[in-house]
Amino acid sequence: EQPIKEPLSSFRTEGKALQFRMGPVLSHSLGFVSGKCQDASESKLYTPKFHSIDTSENYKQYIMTCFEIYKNLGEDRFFSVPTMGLVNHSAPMEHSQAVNIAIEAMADELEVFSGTQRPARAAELEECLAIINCTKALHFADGSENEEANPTVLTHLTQWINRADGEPSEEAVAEAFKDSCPYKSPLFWRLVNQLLLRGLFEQAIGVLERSHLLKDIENTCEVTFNVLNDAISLIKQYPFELGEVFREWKAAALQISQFFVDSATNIDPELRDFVSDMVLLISGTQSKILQYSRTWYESFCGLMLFYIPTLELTEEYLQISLKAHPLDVCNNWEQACVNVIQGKLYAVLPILESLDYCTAVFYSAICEAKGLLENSSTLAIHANGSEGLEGDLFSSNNSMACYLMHEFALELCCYEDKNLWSVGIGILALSPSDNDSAKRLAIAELLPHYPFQNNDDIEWLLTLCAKWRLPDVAKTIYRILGNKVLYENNVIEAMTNFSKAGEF
Amino acid sequence: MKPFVTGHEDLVHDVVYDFYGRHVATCSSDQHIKVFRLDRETNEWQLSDSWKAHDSSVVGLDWASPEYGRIIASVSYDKLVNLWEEEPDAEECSGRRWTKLCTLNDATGPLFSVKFAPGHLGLKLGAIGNDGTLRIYEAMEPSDLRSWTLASEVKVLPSPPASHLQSDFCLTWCPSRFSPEKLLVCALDQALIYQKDKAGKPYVAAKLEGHTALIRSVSWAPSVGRWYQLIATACKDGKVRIFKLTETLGGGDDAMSVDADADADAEVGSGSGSGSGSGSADPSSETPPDLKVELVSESDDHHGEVWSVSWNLTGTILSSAGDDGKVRLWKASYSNEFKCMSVISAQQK
Repeated sequence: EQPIKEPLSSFRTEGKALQFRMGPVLSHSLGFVSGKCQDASESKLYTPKFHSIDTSENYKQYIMTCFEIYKNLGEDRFFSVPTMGLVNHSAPMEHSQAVNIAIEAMADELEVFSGTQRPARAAELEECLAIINCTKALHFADGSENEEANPTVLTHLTQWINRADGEPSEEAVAEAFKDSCPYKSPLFWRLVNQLLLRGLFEQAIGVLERSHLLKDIENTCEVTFNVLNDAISLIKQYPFELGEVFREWKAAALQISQFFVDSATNIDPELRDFVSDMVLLISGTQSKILQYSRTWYESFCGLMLFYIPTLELTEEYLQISLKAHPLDVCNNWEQACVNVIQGKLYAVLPILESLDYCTAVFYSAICEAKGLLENSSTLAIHANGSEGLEGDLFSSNNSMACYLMHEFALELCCYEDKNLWSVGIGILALSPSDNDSAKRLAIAELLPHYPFQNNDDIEWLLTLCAKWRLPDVAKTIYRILGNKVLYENNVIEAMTNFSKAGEF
Repeated sequence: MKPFVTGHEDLVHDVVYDFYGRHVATCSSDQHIKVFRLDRETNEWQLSDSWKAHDSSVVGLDWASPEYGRIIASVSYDKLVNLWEEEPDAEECSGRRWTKLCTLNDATGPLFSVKFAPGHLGLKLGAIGNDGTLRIYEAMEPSDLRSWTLASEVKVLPSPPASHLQSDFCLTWCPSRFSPEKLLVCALDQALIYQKDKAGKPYVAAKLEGHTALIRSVSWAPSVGRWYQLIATACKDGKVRIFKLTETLGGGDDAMSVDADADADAEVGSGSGSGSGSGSADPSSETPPDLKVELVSESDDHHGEVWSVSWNLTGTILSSAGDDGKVRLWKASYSNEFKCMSVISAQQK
């Protein structure tokens, strides 16, 4: 039901006015129409449904877990490059590992949370997950500073694209196997190659075995039989650990493909072409990778898996892939992942923010901890330059992650949930901003609004007053408490509180 | 939107939340005030009490800070400010749960708006109405809420508006604990910020310029974590405006100098055109800070009259409602630009 039932033109001419009040608890905000109503039942107040506010327990749990993950980073919340004093060489690696674990944990939590949501919301969260998984693969791999990529890069890369776009579908598999000799159909080879490009090696081998191709050609064409067997063995041994092992693996793959090209076979020429394509694909032939991939991310993954798996060539692979398969602009995550691959993490934040605020906040915080978000001083020009001496929680002197964290912290205080309040205060306290006085003032303004219910809550409030040295706020709280218990006819306790507030 | 019936038999003029947002009070042309309590189990508003509060339309009301008990102030076209206190032992919906503490009857015209000062400033309230005079009352003794004194009386308009013309008045206090006492008073199309001089007398410290029609609603943002203040206005000229108020010590070059003793009447309508103002130039520590006002956002997205603006608890989101039948939510970006983040339609499809 909506407050305005008539057409807007008559609504206005009747002298009615739409009004709205934001409540201290955002979800309890009210809208109403000021205007002459016919009867008492027409005089109503309306609570809107805010799309951006999720008050479910699952979401609260997700927020709290993300905060715990961030909190547990400890000093690793800050990114720094030691340039003087005693420089510990293992420290950067340890820091890197700690932050990698954090993003991994966050992705896991998001996956769990997404599983509890309705399809529409789950789809948004899956887009967030795709962006995080892509970032994890490209920027949060152990030892990513090394020239060669490492095993987690490729594992995470395949996890990313297979989670983001769960192809091939069951229908595609069924379609490829609908004939009695599936391997004669181009659909079958599309399927095999798609699985290979996505790093789904076991499934690709499974599909080949299920087709009985090997059994059928065992006695007719020894060359093809051997090449296929060798190719399968090679795929089984795909060296995710890379480095020197990958070079040997690739040499073997090239050898097989060259051998097949040079050899005469006793199979149908069309089938020979299909087998040849597959062998060329695993040996890293760019044209075949691009030919058999359906999307830019399949090409990208294929090039990373079979061409040269190194993070140094990601930009080049991306351009080749996008040229062959333009990105789908209707998918938020595709554009964001392109940005991630190009290292433009700032561009990702608004997309993430529109999908899920909490995810955007902790994503930015962890990216900043990893050193992926450039320092704010190199960012856009500071607005007007009149920042005051110290700046504030929303000052452009702070980093983008700080900004998002502070905004989120204040938003959590509009939920009337004690746990989220403590997360909000915790975020303010832990944010990388070193402007403690701004944090202190913000906490002082916030604390009296804390929706306390019992003595534990009050103790928590007063502990914070003590920790942040806020005696006046403590007095306000005692006065509020005094009046509260006075209304409950508890005069003695009221007097105690008033006296603590300095009233007597 | 999820509705609930208020039971008012006429136009609802105002809806206000208590400090924690667990109660909401409404007032109406039916001369009644109603208080609703949020049921924690069902998350629905339940009528707590309803009573006849005035002998004319009740047009504005406000809750006092919980530091001073459970008190509501109401103003009406009957020219009175009434103060009400909750009697927790009285039964709900009995009509006796709220007892009148006192009546303040200094106004000479219908009253439009009443607002309690934030708790840290003590128990005081401001009221303004058609006589164009801002009156600030203070409780003589917080333990005796029946005795109030008229602490200040400031003529905001040189003369009351003609009775046949449409008028509007509203006010809002600066909620910041760390900023000197000040309040914004809107009378017709004027928006004036009053601050106290060294003698404790209110003077016009700044003006919010640019309004070309009646100001319908005004809201001072809680300045959590910000070193400046934000004020939003809703205007009949179709604009939602957001002003940034910066306090600086000493007179700046671009500040408009206003004599602390100048008659407020003279200030009204004498706009400097710069949209800025300042207080006394005395640099002593007792001197109120100079105020610099900047218009940071002006939007006509509602394509018609804007009726209300209100900030959320932490001053990060602004809502506006207007003649396009929509509620818009505004939020500042990293570059401090206010952008519409969400639009809620209030019109039945």
